[in-house]
Amino acid sequence: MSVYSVKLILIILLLSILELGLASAVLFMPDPTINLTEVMYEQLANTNMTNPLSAIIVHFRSYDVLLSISTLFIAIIGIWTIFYSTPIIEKTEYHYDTPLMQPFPQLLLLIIFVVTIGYILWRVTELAIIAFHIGAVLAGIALFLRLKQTTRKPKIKNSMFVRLVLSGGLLVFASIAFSVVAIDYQLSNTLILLIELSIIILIALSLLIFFMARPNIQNN
Amino acid sequence: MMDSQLWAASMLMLPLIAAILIFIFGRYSERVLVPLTIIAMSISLWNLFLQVWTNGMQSYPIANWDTPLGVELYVDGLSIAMLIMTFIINVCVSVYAFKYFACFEEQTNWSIKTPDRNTKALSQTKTEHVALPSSYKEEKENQLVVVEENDYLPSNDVEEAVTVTTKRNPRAFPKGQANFLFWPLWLLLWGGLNALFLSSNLFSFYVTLEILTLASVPMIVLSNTVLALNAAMRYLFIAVFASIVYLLAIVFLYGVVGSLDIQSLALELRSGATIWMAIFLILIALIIKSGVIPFWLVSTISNAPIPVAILLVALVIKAAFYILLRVWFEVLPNEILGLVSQLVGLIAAVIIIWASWQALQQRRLIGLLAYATVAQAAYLLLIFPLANGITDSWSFDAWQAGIYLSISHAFVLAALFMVAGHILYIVNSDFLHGMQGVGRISPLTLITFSIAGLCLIALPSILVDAIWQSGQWWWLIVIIIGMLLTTAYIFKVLILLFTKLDDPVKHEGGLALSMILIPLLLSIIALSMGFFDGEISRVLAMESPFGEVNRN
Amino acid sequence: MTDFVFLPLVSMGIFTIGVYVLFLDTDLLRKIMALNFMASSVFLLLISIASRSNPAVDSIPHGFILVAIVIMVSLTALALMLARRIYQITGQLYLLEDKNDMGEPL
Repeated sequence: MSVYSVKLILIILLLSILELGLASAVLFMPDPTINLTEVMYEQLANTNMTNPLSAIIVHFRSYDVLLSISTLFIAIIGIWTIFYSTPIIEKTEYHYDTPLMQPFPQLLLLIIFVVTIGYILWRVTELAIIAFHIGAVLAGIALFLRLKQTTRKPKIKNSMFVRLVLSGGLLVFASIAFSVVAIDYQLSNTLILLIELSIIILIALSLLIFFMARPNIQNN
Repeated sequence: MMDSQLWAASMLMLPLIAAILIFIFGRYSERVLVPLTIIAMSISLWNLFLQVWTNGMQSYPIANWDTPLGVELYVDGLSIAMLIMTFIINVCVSVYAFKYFACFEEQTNWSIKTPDRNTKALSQTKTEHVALPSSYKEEKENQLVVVEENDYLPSNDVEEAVTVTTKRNPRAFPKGQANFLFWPLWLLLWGGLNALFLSSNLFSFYVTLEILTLASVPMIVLSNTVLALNAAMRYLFIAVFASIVYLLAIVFLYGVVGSLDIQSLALELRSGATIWMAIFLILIALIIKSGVIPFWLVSTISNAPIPVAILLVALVIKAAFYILLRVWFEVLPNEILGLVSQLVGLIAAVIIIWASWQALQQRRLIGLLAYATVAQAAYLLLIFPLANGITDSWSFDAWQAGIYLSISHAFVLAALFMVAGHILYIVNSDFLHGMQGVGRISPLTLITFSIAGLCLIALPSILVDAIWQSGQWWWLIVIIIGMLLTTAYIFKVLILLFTKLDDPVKHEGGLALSMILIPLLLSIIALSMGFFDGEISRVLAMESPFGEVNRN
Repeated sequence: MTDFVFLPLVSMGIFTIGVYVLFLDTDLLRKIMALNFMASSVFLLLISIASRSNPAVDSIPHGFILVAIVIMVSLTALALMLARRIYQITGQLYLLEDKNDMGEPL
């Protein structure tokens, strides 16, 4: 038997032990001793929400949501750090000669945009749940528009205004959260809507930045 | 009540908001905003401390939603001790980093394309430049490291051993802008740490652990080398793997209990196949995160800039240890931990001896300190077999000794790394043989290294009392061997620093006094912790898991 | 209780595949994908735990998933940026050996 096959058998053995352990852990999982569903539906009456999930995101677990939204901001700074502290390699030429760039998809894009805005208005009470999806759709549309303009791309400078727009969403969210936690300020519906919109903007912009990865495309 | 809520909330929100503001206003705004943040943080920390000192444990449900459903900010003696440690280290690191990044702004090292093949050629002769591999030839302005492989260099050649420098790419941010991004990342790391120490929910621990990873990975790249990029990638993989394993474990716990709040978990947990698997996974995840196995800490630290290395060593791995303390003593049912704790102790013992031995073999100061850090992180795991049964009378002593050890380790290791950075600044090389006679130029360096090094040697003796009481004498052997090895590698460095040379080491520029006074301050703090024994023990006793034992 | 068999087992299988790829594949992109695989399998387990709840579906695991997805997106973005830089500078899409710049093992 060669070394390779011994290694392979060893790996398969280890992985199956792991799989067996995990499988037995889930198969013998007893029913939970605490059931928070009833408590949650009781408390749901104290909020203006109808959907339990949006109540969890906006009210009960807003702390975790704030921390997780701030990771998007950390990732933006992290990506810029990596970008600016490594040498720049020559840009590859991309060719966008695909069917996607034909006029018809642009019409489709418009429809997607209108449907998204309509969806936001329709589900405005549950905006917290769909924030990520809406942000992703908006980022996709912006990305498409950027890819389409092969001749004259919009330049994004690394200016204070751009940085303000990028982090403004988190700043709004963090300040509202701070006032709520620190001085017992009551959340009104307007404030909740403000938080949700700022989350959507932050998600859309950070997804866009994750793709483009760099702010100063202008010095090319 | 409302007042203290403000202080607890500002502990985690102030760094976040300050980081956003520094990011928006750009370069040079950190010179105003970082001192302002530190002042504001000191005020809120002081008020929070007073609150805990007078009224004991505090918990503030966020937006008034009670705990099993909502989340709360929770402060007890252990959290306040960790918060104070974080504050002291962060203030010292910020002052140090201002100076450090000013000194090392220009150093980059992009010339190494594939070090495994080509660097053999680098270390051949003593004074002549080596015939360059093809990848080096393009960059003519480079000066290459020329060091003999086996022997110590005579002192004259120390000047030759400069690091490889290349021209910074003109198209990047204006000079030093990448280093500027250290400040928002550092503040976010601080905010994440404070959030972690204030949480009382296993899921919040997961979120904050990920914040720590996200903030510390890009900071490693700031040292501008290919190897740093590599180390950052490796660290990211290991840290995220550990986080996901931790997430799986807490999902198991959620499946069994139906809540992730520490207090409800502690009441409801009982043993079973799922719990066993969860314990196994949590231990794997947190032992990896606390830097013991595998040795990811070594490659990460030896390639990171010194301030970032200090943050990793003193704070990030301590955060994982803190979660392990919380989970082990406050969540897991202690009757099933007996065998597991001996196993953890065995792993710790092996790592202590092996890592100390490796440290002795190192030829670079940073590598030596990195292995020393791994060994010191392993000492902390020894408290789990010692404080095994919560009901035993010595358990509280062992638990307290562990926390005391982790806090003083943070100070001592931070001081040692800062001194290493200062030596790096003076001799421009972190090879041990290049450091002969540094103590002659800068006696403060020597004094600080001696104090911090002696602290490092003596610290594990805190555990001896608990070992004696519990009767588990076999750990004493491990500690004695570890201390002997520590003495050996600390004195290896000290002797080199003491060496008298006919032709003393030259150094250009000033001595960068702030880079050496801060580690001196830190090692004095570590030393003086012994005088505040009673106060520290009183703080830690608040709402400790051994509360009943203490009252009896 | 009978429903709580298929989905958890599949999710744990996916987790094991993720572990395998993460540790034994050298390609950085595949490693990053393996991390996402592992995270997604945990989310799958959380969904099945949520649907197990008796009177109504337990929404708290759904909240956990929404939070964890955002975190995984950030981590993936950072990892992809690092991998891209490593590829551009070294010309390879795998990690270099763990050595210091003298070619000595750490």
